Amino acid sequence: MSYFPLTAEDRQAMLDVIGVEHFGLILQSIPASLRNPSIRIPESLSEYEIRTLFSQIAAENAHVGKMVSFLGAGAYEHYIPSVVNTIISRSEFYTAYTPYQPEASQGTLQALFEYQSMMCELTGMPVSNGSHYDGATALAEAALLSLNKTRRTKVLVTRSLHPELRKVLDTYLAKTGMESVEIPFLKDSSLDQNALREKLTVDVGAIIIQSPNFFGSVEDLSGIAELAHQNGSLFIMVSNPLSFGFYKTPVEWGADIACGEGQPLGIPLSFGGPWLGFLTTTRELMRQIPGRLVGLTKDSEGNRAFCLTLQAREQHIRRERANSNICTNQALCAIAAAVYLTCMGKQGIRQVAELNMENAYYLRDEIAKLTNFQVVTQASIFNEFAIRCPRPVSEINQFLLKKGILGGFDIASVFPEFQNAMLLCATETKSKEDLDRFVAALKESVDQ
Amino acid sequence: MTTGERIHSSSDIAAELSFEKSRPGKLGVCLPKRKWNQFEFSRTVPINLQRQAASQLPELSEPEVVRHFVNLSKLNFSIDTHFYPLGSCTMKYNPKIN
Repeated sequence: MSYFPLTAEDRQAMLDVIGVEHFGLILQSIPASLRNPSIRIPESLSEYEIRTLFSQIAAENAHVGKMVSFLGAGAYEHYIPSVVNTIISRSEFYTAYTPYQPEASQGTLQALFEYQSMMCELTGMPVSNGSHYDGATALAEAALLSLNKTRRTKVLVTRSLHPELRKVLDTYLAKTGMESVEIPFLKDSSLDQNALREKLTVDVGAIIIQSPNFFGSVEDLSGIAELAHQNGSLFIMVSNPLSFGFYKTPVEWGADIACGEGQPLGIPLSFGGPWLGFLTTTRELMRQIPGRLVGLTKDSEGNRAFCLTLQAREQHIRRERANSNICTNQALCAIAAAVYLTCMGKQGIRQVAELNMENAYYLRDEIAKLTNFQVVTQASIFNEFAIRCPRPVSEINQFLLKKGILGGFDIASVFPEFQNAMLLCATETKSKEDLDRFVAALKESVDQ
Repeated sequence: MTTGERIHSSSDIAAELSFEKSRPGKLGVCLPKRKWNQFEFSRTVPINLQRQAASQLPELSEPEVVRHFVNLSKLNFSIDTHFYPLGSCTMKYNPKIN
């Protein structure tokens, strides 16, 4: 299939206009040895053949469409209203150019403006940017913002932060002379406030705490903001945004920056991406915010219009003086989140949060009744919690897989002190039958 | 336009923010019912951990959400609707399956 819309006559007409005899003459400035390289790839297939081939390859995957999944650990299976895909499948959105020319991009700009407004509503913070690549890069940018603002060299990070976020953060900080310092956690994975106080030295630019943390615990963050601010540090809260349908928001905890992975807001698992990083902050930090920002303004006729704003932070400034050098964002995923949040609205977001919670609480209660399993995460939870199993998690998961169940995440793979510990997730997608079947299979996996 | 009046086009409708179209009590999604009565989280979860002020996310019905975003999409220039001779990022046709 050819995607080129031009005929030979069209080409000749264009060559005639510029006065070139044939197309090969245009290429003559390219050395002959670099022209027409041989590329060893198979013959092209028709669209039907491509669809068939990739459907066959895709069928090799175990996925949440054919298995019952209890995997979370940063990637969450949620119900996505059909409206979301209908909207982001409109090619007016997915084939639009990045919105440098506002007159040609009012649709994208307004959708991103609404995304920002809704992230402000969800987190309670007054300013949001237009999104980041993912939760990990949003956190890393939040840390850099804090270190630039405070002119300090360290960030304190709780050990219960998602290990992948920690890795990306450390990659960003490598070679900068700045570093992250770990705060240990208590036995049940919750925040060790005494350890935090001990490590809070004058070179700390920010305290970074994830809640719900990697083990599912919703942290009590009373006094953290005051502690940070008395030390001249900022407080960065990393969260699952869907938890704000019920749980206390970053603004209520006094956070300076809220960030995290926006995938739970209507973005499919998609084997890990593309996803969406969100970042919201205070008015004071507005001019230091990294990434793209859409603002509301008036056009030359006085009508309401939208445009990229405060651009002197990023592209329209010398590279070394920019807040960050991210001149793009995850626009289509941010539009998906905007559609998701508009569908949910004030009531739906609370309902979906409580549906997650009731499934997770029910599952935790049922597992607590099993003699051989112990619940690690005893605190308040959103949709995840950790358990200790009597056997290695990999063995249990092999057993569950044969029953069409994707078991939980093997925590020992990232936290060696948690041998035989499994991180379980039960979102609103699980029926009571799914949960009961899982508990029965878990019991059977050690009885056999 | 000889009369000098503005055309009330789809762009004017879309320019209204979803927040401005919001009406209390509307819901754009159909969620499963709660399964258990025993989890009254507003009573059982420590009040200190709960969100105090509800979010003011817009409240629209599903057809209103669809119209809102479809009308927004029509305000974009895009490869599938227009010739876009800009090259700082590669703007080319996206095959629907390739």
